[in-house]
Amino acid sequence: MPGAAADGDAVSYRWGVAMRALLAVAGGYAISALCTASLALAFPKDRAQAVLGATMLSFTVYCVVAIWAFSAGTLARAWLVAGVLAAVPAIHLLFAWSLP
Amino acid sequence: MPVFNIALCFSGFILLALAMERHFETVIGASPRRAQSAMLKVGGWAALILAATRSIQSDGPSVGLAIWVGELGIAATLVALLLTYGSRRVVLAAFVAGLLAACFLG
Amino acid sequence: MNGMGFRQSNAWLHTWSGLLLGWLMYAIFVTGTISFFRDEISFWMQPEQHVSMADEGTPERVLSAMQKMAPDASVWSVSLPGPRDAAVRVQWFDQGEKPSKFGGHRVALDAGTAQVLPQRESRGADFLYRFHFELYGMPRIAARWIVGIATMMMLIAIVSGVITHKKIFADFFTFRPRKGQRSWMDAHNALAVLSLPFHFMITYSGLLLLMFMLMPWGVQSAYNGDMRAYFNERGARVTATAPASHDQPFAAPLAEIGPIMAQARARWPHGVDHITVTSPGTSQAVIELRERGADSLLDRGRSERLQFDGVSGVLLESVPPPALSPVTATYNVFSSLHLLRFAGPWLRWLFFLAGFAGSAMVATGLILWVVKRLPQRRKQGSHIGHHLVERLNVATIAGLLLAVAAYFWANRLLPVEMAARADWEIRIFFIAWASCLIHACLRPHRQAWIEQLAMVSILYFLLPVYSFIYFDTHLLNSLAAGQWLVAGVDLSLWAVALFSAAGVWFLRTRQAASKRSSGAATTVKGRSYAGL
Repeated sequence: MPGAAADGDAVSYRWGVAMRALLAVAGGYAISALCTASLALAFPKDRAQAVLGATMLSFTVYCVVAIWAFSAGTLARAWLVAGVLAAVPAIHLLFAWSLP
Repeated sequence: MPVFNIALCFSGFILLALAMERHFETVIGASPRRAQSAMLKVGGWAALILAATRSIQSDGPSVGLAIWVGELGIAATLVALLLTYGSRRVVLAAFVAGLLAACFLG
Repeated sequence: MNGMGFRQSNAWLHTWSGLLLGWLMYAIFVTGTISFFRDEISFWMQPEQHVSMADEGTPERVLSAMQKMAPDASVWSVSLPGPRDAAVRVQWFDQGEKPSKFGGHRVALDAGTAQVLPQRESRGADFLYRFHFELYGMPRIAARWIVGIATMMMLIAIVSGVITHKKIFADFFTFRPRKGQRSWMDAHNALAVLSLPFHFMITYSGLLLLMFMLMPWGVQSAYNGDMRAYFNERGARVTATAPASHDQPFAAPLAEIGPIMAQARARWPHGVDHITVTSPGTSQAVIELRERGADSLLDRGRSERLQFDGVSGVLLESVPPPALSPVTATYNVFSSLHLLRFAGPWLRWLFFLAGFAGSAMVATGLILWVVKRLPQRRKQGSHIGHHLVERLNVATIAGLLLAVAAYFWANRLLPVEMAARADWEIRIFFIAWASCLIHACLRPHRQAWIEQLAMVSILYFLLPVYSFIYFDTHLLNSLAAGQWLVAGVDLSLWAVALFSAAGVWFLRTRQAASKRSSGAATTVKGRSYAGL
């Protein structure tokens, strides 16, 4: 773990860790939930299988997001990519639910 | 008998271990040539795959593969322990295990 | 993380995802591993039932007994003895009662005489099994969420561990003993990598078993939250097909079970596991036999079933199971591998050993965290986090094993007629575990380890010894009679005792070695860690 050279560094380090943890825990869950909900609608002919498959995959998505949250080079990039990952299924769901 | 399948996996892992420079030097005492390493790798993988086939034949594909993977874990652990605490005797052990497995394949 | 490479970030993530709930993960792993032998251990915990020995005539004998005990029942459910349980477990439901797992009347029968066997009031290994995913003493859903969160952290720990392990192939067979921190790292790596497929599978499948609670959003989105509709569409389990009878049922004697069993045994190499009789003694009776074990995991390790007309003994046409989609097949394989209901003894032992390796993997990881930070603590002193981890390590890694031993001892020692006996067995488990935590806080770190491991060793060693004095089915007798069911548990207890004793020996030889070179020994607040 990188040591804190000065107090300012220590605070910014802790802030970074906290924000990445928030992204991993809450962002991870949100993105997995959105992907699951979205994927479940992707195969209307085989609804039950789509739900099962999407739910099974959700944990892979969560794991990937959590690892990304801590591996991204900068905090900004972590949140940015996560935002994109969340936006794609979100937009699909918005369309799907607004249609009659 | 499952013991013989484990013996086969055990031999396979010994061959794969010897294919690695570090372990070849510890056991044989010289650096491996590339051809030797390649042959050891082929032999090792062949033994493992043969064990998988036998497992599938006797217990069906899904149960057989599950058993095979479990046997791989035990065999690999035994090889790791042998290489740590046994060294030169590894080669002898591999031949004995391989012979046992081969006898019961037919 | 800012400024760290991919491997380094994952090393950090691996440490924290492993450490924060590591003790809970260890408890889940240990209770899960024990649960692979749930039936065997529960049987071991009922010593009055060890006298039961099955033979060819068991099915006929049992059904005659059922005829006397429950002639008017709507369903008879008979679990035949097998390699995992030597007694006959029968259950019957009265007319109008809906069959359920814990309802009706349940009794254990001696397989040799069909007499009712005494049953000690005990949760048996079911307590440990339930603890594995529902903990104890808290609302079920909350407990499952906690276990689910721990499981996800385990998955992240595994994946980040693989990412960060630079020489995963080169170091595959490498173990370097007597090198302090390096050795602990090698052990942790070996335990993780050599059974990596198992660890990954058991963790992911654990999540899958909880998936609709943890991630209901697929059902929410596609079915508007209607779980029932989803399960119906996915395909209900094939239920018993009652014969299409339009007449009023009249009394009719049940068909002879002997020829029916013979037909089934001819078809199933591992024999018959279970007999269910619906509407016994009437013209609508149906006898259903269930195969022991299963051929394939694709249908959830579902054993084959044969149904016979209960009066004529004629084999009925069975409804072929619905075709499986690849998605359902994948789920079935994963969940069967986790629950392992179908497995024969060899696969069960393989998974048990893998589970043991997994528990040891978590334990060595927690210990490695302490060992790695010792040089830093010598220079800069310790803070409360270090002490907390040390104490939790002893109290959980050794303490949980001690608590399980205490549970088994309670099973042996508590009077059979005692009130709330099952609850007291469980209380003693938790009292023992709590005592280990208190002990760990009061004793110096190394002493705590040695003392608790020594206690574990003694308690496990004495359990089969107790059987020598008080029970007929002690180790010598059970080995002589080929009763591997009981002997297996006793021998495993001795194996744990041996393993623990090895741990004590290891720690004490280290201590002796460091005392000999005590000139160079450095101390951390009065405790010597040289040679660790």
